[in-house]
Amino acid sequence: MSTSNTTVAAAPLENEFGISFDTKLSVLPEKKGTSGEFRMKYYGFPLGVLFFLLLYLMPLPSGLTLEGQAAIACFVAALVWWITEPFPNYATSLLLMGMLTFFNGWTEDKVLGVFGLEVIWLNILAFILCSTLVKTALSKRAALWIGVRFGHNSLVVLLAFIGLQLFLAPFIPSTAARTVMVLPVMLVIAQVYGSTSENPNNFGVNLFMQNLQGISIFSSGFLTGSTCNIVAAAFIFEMAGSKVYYSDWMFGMLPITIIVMLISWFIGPRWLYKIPKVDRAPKLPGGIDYMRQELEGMGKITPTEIKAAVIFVLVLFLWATDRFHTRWFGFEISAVMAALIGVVISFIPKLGLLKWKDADIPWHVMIFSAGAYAGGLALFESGAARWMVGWLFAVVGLKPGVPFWLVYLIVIAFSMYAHLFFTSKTMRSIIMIPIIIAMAQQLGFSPVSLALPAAFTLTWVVTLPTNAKPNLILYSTGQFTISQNLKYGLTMVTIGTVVMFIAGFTWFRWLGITP
Amino acid sequence: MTTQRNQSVRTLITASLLLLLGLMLPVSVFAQKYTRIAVCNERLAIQEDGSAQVTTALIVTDSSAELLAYPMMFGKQEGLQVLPESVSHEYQLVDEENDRWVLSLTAPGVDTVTLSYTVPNVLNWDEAGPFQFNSYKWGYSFSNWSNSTIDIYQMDILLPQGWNYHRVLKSMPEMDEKETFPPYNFLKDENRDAHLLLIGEDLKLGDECSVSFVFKPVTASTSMIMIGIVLCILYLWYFRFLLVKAKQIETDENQAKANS
Repeated sequence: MSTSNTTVAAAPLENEFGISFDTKLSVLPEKKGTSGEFRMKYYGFPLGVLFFLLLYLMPLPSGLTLEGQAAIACFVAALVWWITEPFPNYATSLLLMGMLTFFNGWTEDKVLGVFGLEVIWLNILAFILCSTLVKTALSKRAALWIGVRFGHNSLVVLLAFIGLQLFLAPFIPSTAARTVMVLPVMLVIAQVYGSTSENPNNFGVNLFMQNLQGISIFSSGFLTGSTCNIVAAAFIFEMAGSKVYYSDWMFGMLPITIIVMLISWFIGPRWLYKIPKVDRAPKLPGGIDYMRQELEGMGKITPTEIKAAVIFVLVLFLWATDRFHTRWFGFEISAVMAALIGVVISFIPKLGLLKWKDADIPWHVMIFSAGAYAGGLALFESGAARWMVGWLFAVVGLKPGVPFWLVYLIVIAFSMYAHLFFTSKTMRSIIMIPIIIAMAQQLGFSPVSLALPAAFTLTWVVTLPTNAKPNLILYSTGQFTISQNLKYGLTMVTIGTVVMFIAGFTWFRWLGITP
Repeated sequence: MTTQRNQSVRTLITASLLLLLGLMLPVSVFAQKYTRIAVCNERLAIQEDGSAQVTTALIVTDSSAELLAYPMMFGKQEGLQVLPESVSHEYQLVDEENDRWVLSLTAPGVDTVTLSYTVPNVLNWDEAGPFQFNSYKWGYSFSNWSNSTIDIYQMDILLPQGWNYHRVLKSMPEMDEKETFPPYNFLKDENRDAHLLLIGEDLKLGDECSVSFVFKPVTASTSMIMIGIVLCILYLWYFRFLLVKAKQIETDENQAKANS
């Protein structure tokens, strides 16, 4: 019954304008490359091999094990190949897993065990939940509503999504959950503006990149925005004796996140991936009126859509209230288990909404992410990540007497760009924050003045699809390439560093965070 | 009657006090014989033939005991050689049952004791490996069977020349997942020896400090470089059509620009 409703509702747009409300994420789109991309592919492989050989065969530095050295060499080679794409990214991930095992960068059982990690399961379950929204056409209804309400101009749509991410950030700590909520709507809006996975345009790049950034950057605006924030605050309390309250964090960082996202919204469609004026209006003939007609044509909300909404709200409720679970139920329902509950209900015959064939899981993304996590975890477990942090600070040569602004700049820049190598935010928090606190104490500065601003940047994981779960999920849509992600991400991270640097001597000083 | 009773009470109190004094005296004497090892540095330099040069440096504080019993590394072995010139204190192997050095101290106060000796067959190469990818396994465990608490215990294990640490399998103290630094560190000195420095704190009687690890020979593999070069050449030859495509796209784009 639900299927027939969906098909009837989606048909006119699909047939007349080639717009699909049922984009299959599991099907890899064929893309036309640019001349630069073909050149990168060609030279990327030897470049990766060169990096690997240099790192693997260099004399072992003090403090590093052979295992750590192998993990660094394998990960850097894979990073080069992910960016230049001489092979599809999932093939690079599989190659990385093989290299880690073969060159003894990590043990085989641990490499293969990555596929059982919570992050992979959460991705799989999130995609199934996303399929529920797509199948019941609830996502189409929401997309049309947003299109009618804000869709007169592409820039307004982009701003509306930034506002939506800001609204969701304090309520839903799980970034993957926020992504899954918004993804189906984004897919449809992108198509309305002529951006498909086969032929993505600059509107699609801006829409997906700005949401990717919004999800991660707004997480830094709230103490509860991510586990790594809480871990960092705990370290600052334990090691430096300074309690960081929710309000301290929010007043300190939220204005900065809003400023940076507004900059992203301003420069993205105007300079980085310029949306031509002709593309700023919906591609649909009739534009907003047509979308309004479509929305009206869908009629009243159907029982299947209500079922999907109920399931989704239930999962969101469990995600948003995780801190109260123990008080209510006597145990905590993790993000994965909450998603699992929703998925199980969706699959129950008669009561549910999905059959297995409807579940749209992009397995290539799962393999891609498994490889990325294997690389990141190998760096962490072998001690290579810890060694790299210590080595970088030692190379910079920070000694007592160095002016605060220089130390502050180095710490902020380092914590901003560190996500390029260390995939896990929590691990970065565990490794970096204590080192920064110890360094601040050694240099004679207040630990909070360096550790708290550094902690503010932990969730800014916006440069590569491998940096975080939302990035992977959004990358699976084919709306942007790795190099586009890198360019936009590096630009925003650099802008973020500058804004944080200015804030260090203005806003943070006024708040009493920096001296 | 009252005087008699008073007298017997007095006698009872006096006897009790004497008994108490009698009990306290040996306790106080024993309490004085207390020794604390502030720092214990053990250096174990393993040689290619499997023997090891052992150096133990102890800094003893609050010492009032005349004798310090300290566990011998690897027990009493046949062929155990003690280098007399490097032993700064008189020693005698009296506690054979427990394999402990018993050393005379310059009591009371701070004292430094250094022991240096060679132990054969510390590393049995046949038992150690080779395992997968030409790796070898070994480990060392220290249990504090001395008569003192050790505040800081440092174990420095040097591998033979040409070998390096691959990974630590297990250590005591353990590294908790939430901790920033492990209890061990890998070091190198100028002559490229691989050190593993394990640190334990506040080792009481019977407490253990141990590490087991995998190590491998250091090889600068030219074959790997050759394989890398061959793979790159094959790739560049087989995928040369990518450059052709890139040029084609550029030509098309230039032509389109020229036409417009």
